Amino acid sequence: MELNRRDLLYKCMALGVIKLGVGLSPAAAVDSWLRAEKTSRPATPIDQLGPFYKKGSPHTAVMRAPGDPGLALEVTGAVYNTRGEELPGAKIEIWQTNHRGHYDLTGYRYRATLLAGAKGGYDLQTVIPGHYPARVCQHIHFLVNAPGHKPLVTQMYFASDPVFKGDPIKNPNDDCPSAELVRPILLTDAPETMIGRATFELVMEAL
Amino acid sequence: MRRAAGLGVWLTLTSVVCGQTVKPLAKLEAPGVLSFAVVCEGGESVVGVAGQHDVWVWSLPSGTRRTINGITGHIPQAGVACNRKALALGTTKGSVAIFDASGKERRRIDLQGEVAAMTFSSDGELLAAATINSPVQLWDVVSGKLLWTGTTDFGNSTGIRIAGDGNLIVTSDGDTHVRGYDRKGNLLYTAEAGLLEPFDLSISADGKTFAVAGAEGAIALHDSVTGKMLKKSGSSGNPIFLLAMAPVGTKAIGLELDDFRMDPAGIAYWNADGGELRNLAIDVKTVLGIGKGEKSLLLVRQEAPGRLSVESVE
Repeated sequence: MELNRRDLLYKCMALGVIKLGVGLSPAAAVDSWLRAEKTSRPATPIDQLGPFYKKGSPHTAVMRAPGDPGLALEVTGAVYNTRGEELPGAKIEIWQTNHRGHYDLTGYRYRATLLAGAKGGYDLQTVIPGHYPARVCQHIHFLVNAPGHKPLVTQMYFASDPVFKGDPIKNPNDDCPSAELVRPILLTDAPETMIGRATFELVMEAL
Repeated sequence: MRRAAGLGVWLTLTSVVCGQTVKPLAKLEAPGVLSFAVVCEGGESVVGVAGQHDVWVWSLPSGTRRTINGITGHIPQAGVACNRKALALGTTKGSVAIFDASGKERRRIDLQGEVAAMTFSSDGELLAAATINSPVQLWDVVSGKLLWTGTTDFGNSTGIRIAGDGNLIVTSDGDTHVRGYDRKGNLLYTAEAGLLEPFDLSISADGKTFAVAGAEGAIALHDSVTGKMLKKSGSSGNPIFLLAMAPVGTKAIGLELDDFRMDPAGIAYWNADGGELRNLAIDVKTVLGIGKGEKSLLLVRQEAPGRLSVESVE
């Protein structure tokens, strides 16, 4: 008979592979162990910073201006540590191209700084970035800083990107190095006001 | 190792572009169409890469050519470092092969990521390198050991140079700073490099100043002792990805790339002692690399399939 995780932990205790400190009951120890495993999160894979990071981007959650061309996109998520704890106040810097694949190097279009909310959450209004010849994959750059944690430099990619031919797992691309950073798009609202929605959780490692 | 003599022809033609004299120094015979070329520190040789990993080295001014074999993987332009003592070829997977001056492989090291910047000390005994995700790492070429890793607030080092005596390692970093380290890895200073990422730097021959350029399209002159910016040019309007500072004086040239296609867009020229940054009036699409020789700034250009020219900018 195959043991479940809880039974396996009890068996380990019985065999002495796991020993309990003073004051810990077997049941409390197993409950705590399982809770910790359930809430832990793998760190978000890092991805290259550049090119074209620019410091001093404006504090705003809205990078998309009224009338901007391109498919509207809302990216939501939260910042956690690897223990699964929310990190309110984490500083999130975001930059991307416009829908035609151009970065703004002279100003701050499609560049923003956000602070994670009380539960670590954030909500970004933008457009799906365009392609540019030097980078095959559409992407949004993220730089996250929180006290006591390693800065997280990463990028978000889109499962809808033609480069994946409809399947990012079967058709990976070296330009978008981790399938874990590829997100599906949910299209919502009426056709004339349609918006793409994606979630991107940011999990930071402690220093 | 296969050896072939280049043309080694010295030309006497010169042209004047925007006040600068561009003077042909040598013609080189290439067995293929190069993706890029790197002028080795000191200007005594040029490394050319065709396709992903076909590598040739030409001695200057003779044009004598030799082939470097044994590399697999994709060598990016940042993956070539060389001087009169050593050659390193790094790939997008992070493997770096190190050769001596004769082309004999001495060692391989693994940077654990795509090489983003790399340079030797003048004696060829130290190799400083960064990946697209890591700050500068200093390696002992003799033992193959990693001596230390530098620091950034976030992101990687984008440009690295070692001052001639090996006691100062200067980096440009993606977090928009420049940093100086001593040989033991002690951080000597962190200084501002601008709002946008810097991409490359170059040290003057006397080691007292260095120039930095990057996404802003400007070239800035910094003090090597403090890291502080001394002067800064206006912007060329294009990001500058490669930079070379003249061995004498305060002149520098930079390779501008179009920020969308990343195709060559111009050669920026700036004299920190006066004058605006301007573009050399040459066909930039023919430029394969820039660097500096013993006396002047250098351009490597593809004259025709199978033929390169090395020119000085004075």
